[in-house]
Amino acid sequence: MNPYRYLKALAWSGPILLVGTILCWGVLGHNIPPYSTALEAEALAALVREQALSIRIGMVLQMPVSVFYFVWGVVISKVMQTLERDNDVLSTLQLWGAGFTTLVLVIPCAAWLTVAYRPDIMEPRMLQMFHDFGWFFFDVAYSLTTMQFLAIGICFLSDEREEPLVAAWVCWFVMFVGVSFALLSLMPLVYDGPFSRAGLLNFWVEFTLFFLMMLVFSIALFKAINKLEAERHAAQSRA
Amino acid sequence: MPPSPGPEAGSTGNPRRRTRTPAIWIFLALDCASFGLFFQVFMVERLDQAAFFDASARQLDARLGFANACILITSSWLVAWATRVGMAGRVAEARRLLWAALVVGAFFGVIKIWEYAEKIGEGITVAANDFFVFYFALTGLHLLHYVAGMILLAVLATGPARIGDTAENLARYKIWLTGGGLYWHMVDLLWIFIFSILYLVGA
Repeated sequence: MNPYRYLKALAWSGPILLVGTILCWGVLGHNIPPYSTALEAEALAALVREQALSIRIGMVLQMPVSVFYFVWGVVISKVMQTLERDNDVLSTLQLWGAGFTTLVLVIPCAAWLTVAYRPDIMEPRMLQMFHDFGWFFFDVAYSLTTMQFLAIGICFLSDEREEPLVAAWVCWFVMFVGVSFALLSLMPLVYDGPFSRAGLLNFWVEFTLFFLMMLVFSIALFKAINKLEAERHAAQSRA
Repeated sequence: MPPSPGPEAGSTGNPRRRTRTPAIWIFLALDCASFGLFFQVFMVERLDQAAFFDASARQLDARLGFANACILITSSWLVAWATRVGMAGRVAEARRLLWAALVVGAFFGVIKIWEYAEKIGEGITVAANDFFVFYFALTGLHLLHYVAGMILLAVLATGPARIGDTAENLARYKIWLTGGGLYWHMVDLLWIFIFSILYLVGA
């Protein structure tokens, strides 16, 4: 019996999601950087009309790509379960957090797809409303992801190996990124400046942190799976 | 559920691991760097509209900010004292000092909420102007850190009753005490910066 079968292959879902999201949601979807919140409805509609096809392709591709986040979450939960002693509450919280975050990565795409579907005949204010809805869902529902990141950090910090499965600094970094999302709460209160959805803090800093966390934790996850497999082989050799 | 790792790999209470520097330093460094970035962004925004920011800063009551700085410094001093006696193994005394730090620290929250209520009563909200976006963002984020710190201190002050039962439990408590103390000092330090740039610069 191999409890770690498929884990390493499925752990690639993290890097796939990272690259896929940057390309589909970011580049094709014209979300890096997003349209300024300060734009009038007519100006926003003109930009969306100009880039509609690219946005549509980006959002259509992003929807299946987003599911990789859930697969990644399942792998993380399986690794977390090897550390849980009394119950599986942390891995369960993590799994639900990953599941809900997947929805956050899927549903706003439908809103932005709606915006780019018939921009020529859509009334600009209606278009702006759907566009805003997408961003509010995407950014302000951060607590689902924060819950997931805190569960990851707390669980892996409880590892008492001399060389833990996931280094303590990675755990603290993951938790820090989760907590830093709190700043996104300010996004609906402003229309420009560093706290707006296209601003320095709430876009460039927050999204860089999220993508960096994905990269750092993907590497940590591969190392953890390798370590678990090595421990299993060592145990089998002794037996 | 996959089997737990073997005893050689996952042995609990590893003494070498317990003696390492608390990894919470990573979190504290990142947190301080983030606030450092916010302060820089604030100062850059301020350059564009200095007179306007100065006029807005004069609407804040520096006496309240100063009172809160004194409260946090006193509370931080009590935590430092608690850490010192706790590290010497005098857990009961450390806990009493942590309770004192909690009581003193609670006044910060009271003043902050009163200050927010006063500002909102005057019609000054986060939507008032760019200065108050920063005011509510920085003080609000700091308040979240403060609440987390108060919870941490309360856990350390009450904590599990059987800390002193074994050397392993005591060592674990000392790590948490050091980490919690460091976190509380950061909350104190950040407030001193926030007080300086929001309440004093241009006021």
